[in-house]
Amino acid sequence: MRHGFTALLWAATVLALSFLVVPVAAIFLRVPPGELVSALGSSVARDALRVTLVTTLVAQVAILLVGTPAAYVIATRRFRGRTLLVTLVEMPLVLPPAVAGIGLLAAFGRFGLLGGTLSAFGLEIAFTRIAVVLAIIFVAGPFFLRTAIAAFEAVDTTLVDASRTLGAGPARTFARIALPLAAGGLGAGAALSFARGLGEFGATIMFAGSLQGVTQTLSLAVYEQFDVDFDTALAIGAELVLASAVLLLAVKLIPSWRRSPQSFPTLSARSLSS
Amino acid sequence: MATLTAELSHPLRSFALELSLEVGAETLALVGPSGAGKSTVLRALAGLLRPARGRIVLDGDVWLDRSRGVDVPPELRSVGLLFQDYALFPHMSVRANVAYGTRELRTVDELLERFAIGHLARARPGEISGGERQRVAVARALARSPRVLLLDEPLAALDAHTRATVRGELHELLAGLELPVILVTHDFEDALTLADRVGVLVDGRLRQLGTPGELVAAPADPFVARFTGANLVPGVAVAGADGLTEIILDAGGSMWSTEILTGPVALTVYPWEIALSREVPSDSAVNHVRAPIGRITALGNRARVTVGPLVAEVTAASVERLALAEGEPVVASFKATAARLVPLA
Repeated sequence: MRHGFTALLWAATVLALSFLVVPVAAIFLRVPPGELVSALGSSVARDALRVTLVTTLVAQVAILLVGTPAAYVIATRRFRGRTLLVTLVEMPLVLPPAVAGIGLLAAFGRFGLLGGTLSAFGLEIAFTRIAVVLAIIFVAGPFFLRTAIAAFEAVDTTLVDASRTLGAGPARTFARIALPLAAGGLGAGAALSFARGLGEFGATIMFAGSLQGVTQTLSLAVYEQFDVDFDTALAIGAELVLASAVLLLAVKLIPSWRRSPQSFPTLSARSLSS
Repeated sequence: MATLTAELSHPLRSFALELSLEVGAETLALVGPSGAGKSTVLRALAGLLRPARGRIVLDGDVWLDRSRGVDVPPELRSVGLLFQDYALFPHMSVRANVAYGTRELRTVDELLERFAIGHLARARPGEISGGERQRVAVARALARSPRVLLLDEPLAALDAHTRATVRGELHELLAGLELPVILVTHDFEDALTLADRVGVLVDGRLRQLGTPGELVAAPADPFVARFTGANLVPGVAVAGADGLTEIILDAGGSMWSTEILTGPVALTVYPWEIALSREVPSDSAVNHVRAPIGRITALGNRARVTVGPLVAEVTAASVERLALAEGEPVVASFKATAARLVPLA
């Protein structure tokens, strides 16, 4: 009886793991590695890589520059409607990508909410590279924001108070205390949002289209190529698998790497209540 | 001469803090049960908490005046605040911690030297002991050359053994500073050894403010009497006869203790351990002080009687039976086993 149960547990584990591993392995096993590499030389693959790198990097920089101070404010201030605000931040995480795409069109498209204003300034956003960047920011930004808020919340407020009494204003306190202590969480959040941005598909195809060399990212190229040239689609897929694996490793390693050299004492925020 | 004046009014959970203080270049201890509002006072003085109403002035510089909308932020107040758990920055070396509040590299070197933490300069706070952490925190607070020093339970985070040593170090440090120092503690003995004046804070209000001697001699009410505890007599401990320690009192004369210790000490003895009689008794007590009675404070069925450097607590009935009156000579006696020693350096 007991052995039967153990066997059942192991069978389930093996089944789950192999089901998850097989499709990823298949990408690399179906075509010899040499052909995979040469398929990456095609113009579709090269254009898609270029578009992806440019748009993901620009989006990531925007997410970090705007998201970090925003997360700090949300994490350290207590105000009415804060819970609601955090929920709004998390909204794009659960939104179906197609809904995100149509929302972006309704907001920034030519006939959208802000489209008229933007057109007046000569700005057409939909179906341009800017649209790709906006789509990535919209779906990937919340991954960073949420992790960053948690990271800033974990910084002991006593340390912030100590910094202030030692003559550092709010800006210097942020730069020298809050930012370094939250750096592990911020790094993990950045890696998560980078990975999500790399795989962005639904919102992009609706809001930016799939024009080779302009808005066609690696994910879109896989979709475009799979009934044209399956090997190229596989090669691009392999590229994305490797990038994602590296980012996943980063998410796992960054926080522990940040923590290890310090071996924090338990500086509990024993609140100054007495 | 530096003077800090503060009037603070702030609602707390179940009562309101209502406090008025004037502190010169001295150490004022705020003692009281936990939750009495002691730390709130420090946070308000440092600018980390904005009281509902109040005014804080240091030497004519107005730090806070709610009625005129003045509230100087903490970084501009020139306050050194020592946090209860020290709040050292875990991601910085000891040296970077001390240097945080100053641009003067020489000051940093001097402080590292003065607090004997130079050899730890490159260590992280997580790698050093509790006593060392306390010294780093004090050095960091002083690096900014603050005009007011605030200490929040500076000894609470330490184990009993380290505590005695650090208390001695702190005693020496505070004696040399010419700043208003406010020390918060729930331990009356810490207050006795470190402070010039002691304020007893209960439920947000000062029950009594005075020198440690005054508080022990004439507690305002039974609460303060229970809280204040011991007499404190400073002296130098040396090895004496019969395996006892002889304490040569700073004020002249000697007392005896069974505790083994040498060097500068404070002899402490509880008022209720001291017996009064007309003549030197022939019992087991070895410490006798003959002096005229200074003051008699009635506390219900008890009375506190000042005799020379000591305060005895006896029953009201004994005061009547012995016909004790202020100015009359009396003998105060206590056993060497009741005399405990607190090292002062």
